[in-house]
Amino acid sequence: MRARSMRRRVIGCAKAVVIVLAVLWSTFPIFLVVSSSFKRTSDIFAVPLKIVFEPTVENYVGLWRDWSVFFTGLVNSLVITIGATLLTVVGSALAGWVFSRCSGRYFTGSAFALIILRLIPPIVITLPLFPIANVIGLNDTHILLIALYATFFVSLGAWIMKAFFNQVPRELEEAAANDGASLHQILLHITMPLAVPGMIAAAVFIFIFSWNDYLFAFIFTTSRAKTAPVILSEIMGSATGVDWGILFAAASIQLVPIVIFVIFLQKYLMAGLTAGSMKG
Amino acid sequence: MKCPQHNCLTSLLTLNYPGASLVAEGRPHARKREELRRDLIRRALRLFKSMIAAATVGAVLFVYPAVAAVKIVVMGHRVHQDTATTGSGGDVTTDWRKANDADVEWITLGNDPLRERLFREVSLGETAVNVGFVLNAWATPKIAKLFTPLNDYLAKAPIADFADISPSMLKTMTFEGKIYAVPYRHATQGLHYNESFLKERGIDHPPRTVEELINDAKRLTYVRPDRTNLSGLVLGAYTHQIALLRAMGGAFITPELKFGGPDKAIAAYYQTIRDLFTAGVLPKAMPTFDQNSPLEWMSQGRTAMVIYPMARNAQMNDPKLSKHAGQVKVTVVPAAAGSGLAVAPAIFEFWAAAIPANAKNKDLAWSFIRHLSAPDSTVREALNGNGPVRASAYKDPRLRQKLTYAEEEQKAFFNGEAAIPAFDNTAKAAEIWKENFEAAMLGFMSPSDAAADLRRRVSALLP
Amino acid sequence: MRRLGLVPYLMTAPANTLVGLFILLPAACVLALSFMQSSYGLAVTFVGLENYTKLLHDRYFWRSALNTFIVVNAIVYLELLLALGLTGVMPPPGPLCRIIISIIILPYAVSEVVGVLIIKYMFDPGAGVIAYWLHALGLPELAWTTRPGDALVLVILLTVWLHMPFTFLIVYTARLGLPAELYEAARTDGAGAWQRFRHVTLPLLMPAILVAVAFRYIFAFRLFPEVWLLTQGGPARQTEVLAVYLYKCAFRYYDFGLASATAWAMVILSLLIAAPYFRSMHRRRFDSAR
Repeated sequence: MRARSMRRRVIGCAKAVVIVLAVLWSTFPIFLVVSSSFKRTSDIFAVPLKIVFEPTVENYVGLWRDWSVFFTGLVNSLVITIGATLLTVVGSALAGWVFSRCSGRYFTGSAFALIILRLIPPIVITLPLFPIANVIGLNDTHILLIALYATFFVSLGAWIMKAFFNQVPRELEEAAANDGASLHQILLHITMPLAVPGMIAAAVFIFIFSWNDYLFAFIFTTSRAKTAPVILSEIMGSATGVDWGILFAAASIQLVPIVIFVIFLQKYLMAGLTAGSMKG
Repeated sequence: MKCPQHNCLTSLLTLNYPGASLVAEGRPHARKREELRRDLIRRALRLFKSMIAAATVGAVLFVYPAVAAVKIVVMGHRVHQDTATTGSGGDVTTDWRKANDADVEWITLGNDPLRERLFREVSLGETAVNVGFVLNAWATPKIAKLFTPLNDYLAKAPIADFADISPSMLKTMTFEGKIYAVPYRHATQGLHYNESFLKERGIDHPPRTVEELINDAKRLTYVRPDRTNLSGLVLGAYTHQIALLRAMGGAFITPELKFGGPDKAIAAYYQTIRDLFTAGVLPKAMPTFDQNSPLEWMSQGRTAMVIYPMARNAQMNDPKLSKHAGQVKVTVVPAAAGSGLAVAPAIFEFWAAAIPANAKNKDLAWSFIRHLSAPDSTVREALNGNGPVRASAYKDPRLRQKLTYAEEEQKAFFNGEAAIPAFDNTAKAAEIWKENFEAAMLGFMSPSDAAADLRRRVSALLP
Repeated sequence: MRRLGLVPYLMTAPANTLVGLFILLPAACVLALSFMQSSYGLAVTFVGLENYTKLLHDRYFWRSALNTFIVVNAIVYLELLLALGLTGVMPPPGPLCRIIISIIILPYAVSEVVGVLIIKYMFDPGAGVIAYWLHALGLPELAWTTRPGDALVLVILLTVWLHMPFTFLIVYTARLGLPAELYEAARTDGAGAWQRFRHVTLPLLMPAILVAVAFRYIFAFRLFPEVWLLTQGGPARQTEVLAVYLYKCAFRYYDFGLASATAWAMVILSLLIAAPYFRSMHRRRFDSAR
């Protein structure tokens, strides 16, 4: 009896140690970036790592002074991210409802095609898309990036919405239809409000992806629609010894909002993954 | 889906049918869940609305003005922005910006990324870039199709004292009688050395032969009194590496577009590089270096010698940028002992400003180029560390006083050679050079194999 | 819903248009282009299978394929192991559990650009904190600038750090849904912890594990920013992965025909990886009537 409870305590301790290691593993790099953004350059390169230091905001001031284009990039990122999220949510909700309610070869086929086509690596489509986008006059615009990000997430979103709509009983809609409501009214007032958690779940994925994406922004923007990650890579590429503090400041500004966003919406991430990947 | 015993929050998201309200009547726990759910929906809808509002506000307040403001977009290397805006010569663009009430947005990239982005931009139907800097190595007839001929602009709004600008450089940028770019910066490779480090090791003069250079580099690789690791020599990019090859008597691609070799000379060069690397003379981080790295390392005092454009000596001695201001001297790259040459062949390249064929607002772009090329601007840029493209600049008293290497650089002005001459496959040849240099340096290929492989692959590219 | 007529088609139109216009059409273009020779200023000419033969004879293509293969497998299985291990030690659901999950998910929110910055800083030979500890513990240093193997190790490490939360969430939520009765039964039957794991947990989690593995294979296959921003595929092109090779073909060497052939090679490989899983998924999901 005593041996078993001893063993249980040891196992409990071991589990706690593993959890602590996992927490350190996840947070230490982020902590490093944010804390380094408040260090002087000499402190940043101090060996061994300085945990206690004199904080300074000179890196942020330097960022504003030397790389003010970064802030334009942040606004671009925000506009593009919100635009892509809205477009994805609308497209996914509509398509997801149809996939949930309507049978027929066209719909099952197109639901499937959506997923299959999404398997194509994004870099493959950049090749012809670059001149095509220019012919339409869309190069270096926010609209192009919004459309591209939405394209790659509308299929995942549609599957998530389908799983959520499957939970809304048809009888509800049929009852409303029998009462004389038009499809438009049914959708707007009954079905969609019930699926809002699903929309949030879909939105979380595309929000994170659009805010952080590098590949498309790198290839398709020059100056007008450049997003924060691209400018961050430019700062990184041209960083001389004195610029690392500015680099960390920029990275912190790009990083912290989305980290906070994920902390608050983590249960939607979980719900989205559950709905999108498992049965029903 | 049954509510798992503990995880009601998950069920919150799945039990979302309105019948729940009827069910909830009987059970307080479920009723509270129902209220939570409704509250959640209300909050989510409010969040969506505020997101749309934020995006609209952001677009109107920031994006539109940024797009609508009058400005020109200049795409070039960091050195172009630096020499035009910072240093003892001051910001050359201020007067132009005030006179035209326009902003200048600089997009600066390393050599290879610059080539990629610039050529991608000019291949489109329309581009936001107004002025692009091109390297002489990229000046092939293809440029003619991608950039605007400047003859008309030169006639309407000529550059002051145009004949002063190097005719040989202009010729490189002229195709079928049309000038496509105006030279801005020329760079002759020289040997920069930190005098104080040399003195620390008992070397009282810079190396006079290439063999002496190699030996000095080995002696200059040590741990300094303040415990920094010092590398003897740094070679950042292909121009510097080829400069050393030429100094040692080998050749890569001749101006007549033949493979220089001979294989033995290139293999000997690779062997030297490998030895220097294993001895720690060439730093371990070298494969990640780009055009700026030698400047950075010299300014931070992490290396004793670099082969680098002579004009950059000004930046290495700028107290604002360099920890060793005043200690870095520059001289010509020495030749091999038995070669009979006084100095190594001068490796020289230049940058020119061009207007993409698909750019907008070309008049504004031309006025910018014209301003940067004015005689006084050229001298100020040279004070900022630029290699001037005007013969008269070398006679200007301000420069003569400041630039000790002016004489050497002026000689190269007239008879230097390009590291890789301009032809259709210059970029590919430079890539192959880099690959084999790294392979030989890191020991992935033996020096003779690397040399033979180099000849095989590059000969296939030559016309 | 027979009365709906055209409306469902209209409702699926946004999603279908986006995907058709931005994925299907360019993919078809790329397929056509892979049989042509094309570059800046050159007229597009038909060359049949020449691009594909050039591709198969290029030693750098095989090097990048090998690198991709090694890296992707390492990433997928490392993440799976870590996710399974973490799932096993999580406390029971509750506030503490939620806090820990929030923390573990954090790396998912980090951009690859910031990730590369972190790696460069932590592993910098001079000032990096991890490099310092490796040296202090007497372990060999990770010379990622000169040894391609070490650089790939760092790429694997970074990708696992960034994406393990994804795998963990899939596995963990599946684990939460497992009925407790089975564990009770197993425990009363006298099964130890390891046996419970092997015979109860693992088989029941298999669907979720397969989903996670399939998704991660597809996404890891596209690896680009981590490699590009760390080494640009060097030194001597030894750390290239397929996406980097494609980028260089297209935007450095301007050989669009060869790049398109590479692109289609990547597409075919992606579909091959996904095919077994999606076939079984198709059978399971659409046969069961809604």
